[in-house]
Amino acid sequence: MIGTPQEPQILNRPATVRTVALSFLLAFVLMLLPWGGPWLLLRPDFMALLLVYWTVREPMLIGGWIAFTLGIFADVADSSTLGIHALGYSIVYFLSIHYRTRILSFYAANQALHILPILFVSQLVTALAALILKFPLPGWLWWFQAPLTALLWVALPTLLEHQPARDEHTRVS
Amino acid sequence: MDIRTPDLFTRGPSPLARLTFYCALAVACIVVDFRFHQLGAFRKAVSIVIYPMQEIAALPGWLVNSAWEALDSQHNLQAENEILRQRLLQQANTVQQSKALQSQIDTLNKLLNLRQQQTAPGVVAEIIAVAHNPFVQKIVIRASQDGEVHAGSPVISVEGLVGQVTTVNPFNDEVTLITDKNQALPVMVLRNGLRAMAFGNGEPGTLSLPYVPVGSDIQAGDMLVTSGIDGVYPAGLSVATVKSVERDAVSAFAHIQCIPSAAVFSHRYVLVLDGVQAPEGDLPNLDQPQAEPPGTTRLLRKAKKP
Repeated sequence: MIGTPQEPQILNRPATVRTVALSFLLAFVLMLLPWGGPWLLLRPDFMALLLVYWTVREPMLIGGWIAFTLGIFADVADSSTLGIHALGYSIVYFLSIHYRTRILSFYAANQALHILPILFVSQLVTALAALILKFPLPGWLWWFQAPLTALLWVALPTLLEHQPARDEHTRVS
Repeated sequence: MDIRTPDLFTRGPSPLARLTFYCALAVACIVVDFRFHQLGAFRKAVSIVIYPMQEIAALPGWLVNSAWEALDSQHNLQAENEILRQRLLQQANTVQQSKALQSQIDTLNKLLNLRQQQTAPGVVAEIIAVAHNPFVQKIVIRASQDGEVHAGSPVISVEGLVGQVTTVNPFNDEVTLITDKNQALPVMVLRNGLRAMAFGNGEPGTLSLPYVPVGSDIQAGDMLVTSGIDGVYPAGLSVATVKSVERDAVSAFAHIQCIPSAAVFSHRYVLVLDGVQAPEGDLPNLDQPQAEPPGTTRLLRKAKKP
């Protein structure tokens, strides 16, 4: 896809702070929708998904403190113990930064397979914290949260960039 | 166009160092919040920031509900109205009797020099949401405009006890349900006054009584009400019905499962009580018998024998 001089290639353009902020706001609202019962257990972790996405795409924009703050907000919204999501998201951020180049060298579906372990680690951290704080673990459906979130990864570029899949060649920095 | 050049030399601390820092900060948050409960003000401040987003997220549900109500036929509303009228009439008898009984109890308490338990009228609150956290059993309520809600107040619905207000935020309040893992409440078997502690199982629709000795007189179908000895819940609120009692030779305690009376998820409104107001301002003396049936203490002693 070659852009004309008047209209530069969308994908070459770095995401603006506004796009990133708006997408996080949207993810937050999605998270706050009235999920209940089994749907709550299956609710994808939209914030973690976007965190990985923007960290991989715009590592200069996203810092560790953003991950931490998002986590604190998620904790208050979910009325859980302050710090649990913050811990999970900090680890998600670190893993995304660490495996960034590797993730970028794949196509969308294969990228999703790399995102899955990152999301699983975040979920494990939450489960571990719950075990230590003696909260009961939710039902087995809850473990499908990470795979569902990873599935959403495939659709994410379409939603945010009007482009079905993204690979290294479309990313020129 | 926004162009960012990577900083090659001013990198700051390594990612691992930063990860360690943020993880330590998060763990510190968890410890301070969970153990020392010192982050209430901070949580309130953040809740103000996220309030608009909560409102936006509640919009679709509200729209669907309004549309549903608008479409609800007049016939259905009339039928519902009729049922409610009948129910009111059925309860009128009980209400009138309970007034007479209350005055009798007051007189007897005065005669016996016992302290009296007073319950203030409650505040009606609307259930806005179920907390988005599969690890806890909580609901979010919004009190009616003139009402004031305090942390620790009991919350009831038409059928019985729902839970307790645990967090008071500027725009809404969190109620921890009695089915939450960390909730314990003193109950009493309505049939014989046997007292016990009921604990949440961390899942909706079940409660358990883990510390009732095997020999106690309790059976499936027994009604459990609050005993009022903790000074938080007024006595006599309906709590649960015993579903099953299993006794085995291995354990000194019976395995008792109960079904809570209040169906939280089928209601829109709850009543926040103002809690028990002890006249002296301290917790009720547990050694002194409260306004309970005469046989209670004797039965409890009998039950506690090995």
